[in-house]
Amino acid sequence: MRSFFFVCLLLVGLACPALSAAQNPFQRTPLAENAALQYWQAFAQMQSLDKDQMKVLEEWNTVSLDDPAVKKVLDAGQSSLMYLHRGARMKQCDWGLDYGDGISMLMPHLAKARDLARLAALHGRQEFERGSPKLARGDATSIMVLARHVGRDPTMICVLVRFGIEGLAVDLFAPHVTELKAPYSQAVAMFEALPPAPGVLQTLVVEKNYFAAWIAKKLREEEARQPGAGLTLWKNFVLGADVPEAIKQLKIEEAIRRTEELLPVYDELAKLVALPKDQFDAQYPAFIQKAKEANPVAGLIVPAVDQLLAKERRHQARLAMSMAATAVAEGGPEKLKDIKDPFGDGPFTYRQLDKGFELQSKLLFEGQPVTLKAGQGAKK
Amino acid sequence: MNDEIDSLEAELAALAPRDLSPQLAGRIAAELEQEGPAPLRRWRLGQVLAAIAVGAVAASAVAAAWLWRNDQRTAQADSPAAPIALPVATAFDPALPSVWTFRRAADEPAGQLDGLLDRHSGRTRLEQPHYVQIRGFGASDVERNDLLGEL
Repeated sequence: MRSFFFVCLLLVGLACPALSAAQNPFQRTPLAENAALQYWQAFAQMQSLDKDQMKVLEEWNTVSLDDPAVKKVLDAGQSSLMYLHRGARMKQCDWGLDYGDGISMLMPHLAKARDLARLAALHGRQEFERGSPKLARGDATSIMVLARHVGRDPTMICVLVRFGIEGLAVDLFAPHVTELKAPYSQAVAMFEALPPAPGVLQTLVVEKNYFAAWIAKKLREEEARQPGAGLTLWKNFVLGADVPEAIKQLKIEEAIRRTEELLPVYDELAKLVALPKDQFDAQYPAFIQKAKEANPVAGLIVPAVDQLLAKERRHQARLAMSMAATAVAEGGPEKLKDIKDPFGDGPFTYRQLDKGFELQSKLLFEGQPVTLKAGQGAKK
Repeated sequence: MNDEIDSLEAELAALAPRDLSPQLAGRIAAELEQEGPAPLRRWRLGQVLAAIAVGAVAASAVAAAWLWRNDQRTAQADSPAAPIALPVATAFDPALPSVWTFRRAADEPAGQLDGLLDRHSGRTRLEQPHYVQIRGFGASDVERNDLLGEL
């Protein structure tokens, strides 16, 4: 009886704090640990810009910092930057995207995140110029984390926007790499501690299941709902001068069948994308040509994976070169011997410039070697 | 068979309990008087406290359930009567940042995606001040951005 009595008291004791927590609206719940909430507050605080201010953000890397519009933009963006840094400290980020919406899914955060990153890059550049590399480094780090948080969703567009935002951080960081005096090992550790983000390969599953399969399902549902509605929907897909007439003239049953027949193509494509670069480059042209000949709808719905991969590799090369630039700034060009170009057999090629230096990868992008200029922003 | 049962019944009916001896009755009365009431009181007190504790737990559970239901009810009351799925036409509206419009831009030559991001960042609203969308879903992102300035 006595033990039963104590168990009852224990239960009461446990229940009371839970109840008080449920009733306390000021208690921070685990839901608050979502970086997206901070970023959306940053977006909300970003004021509408006039044309001059828009130009300042677009040209953050070259605009004169003495331009009065720069001061206006930075002054107005203080709160946004504060929320950016808050969000970047959080491990979890969920933008709440509903993949059930298929190709109708809206991603309003992408454009705003890109602008927020530009604002932070402008601020970081100003801090470098003022001789505050630590503050500038904080901006660069937050930009990188924002990029990873934006890129956490495995869609092609999120991945592309991630590349763009991470590229801003590289553009901010590289000219001033000699001022940072950060050890190479520390830079690598910081990079490896960033939140993980999917690449092009991981997006193919989403492209297949939530976009291609969704289109086929939606066409079928619309046609079942009202005869002719499915065809009307199909006409929306095939709008545009670049879509072949044969696809525009497909009947609804044929359009659905053709779209469904594309699903196994994604599986084959994923196998190709997982191959080493030289093998992918050798096999992809014949594969996609065959796929398009067998099913012309492939050209409309299947993404241009070769272009996406080219952008991904270029981005990887630039990131690797920005790390290598840190090593050069720390210990001179001979440090490059220990760092391998991920797209070559040896180290990056080093070239001294009048101001700073240039690294070059063996990777070609649009026929040109991928390069990175570094240290050119350093004050002498 | 019936004769045997009848005789057993008769024998059993003849049995009667013996009366308690006065000594035994006295001993029982004395023990009840001296020892009986204390354990009985303790047992009753424990029972009452346990009942209070169980009652408190039950009340807590009821209160928690009520709070939870209250939250649920609020959420339900706030949810719109209209379907909550996006209309498929959203995908093709160039004023909205849908997967489809982004995908089409990404397939275009370099710069198209950046141009689309510029449009959806709300920074081109000055160029389309009178843009009005007529559809069930509601305002475009550009228009929503305009509203932010009014809050």
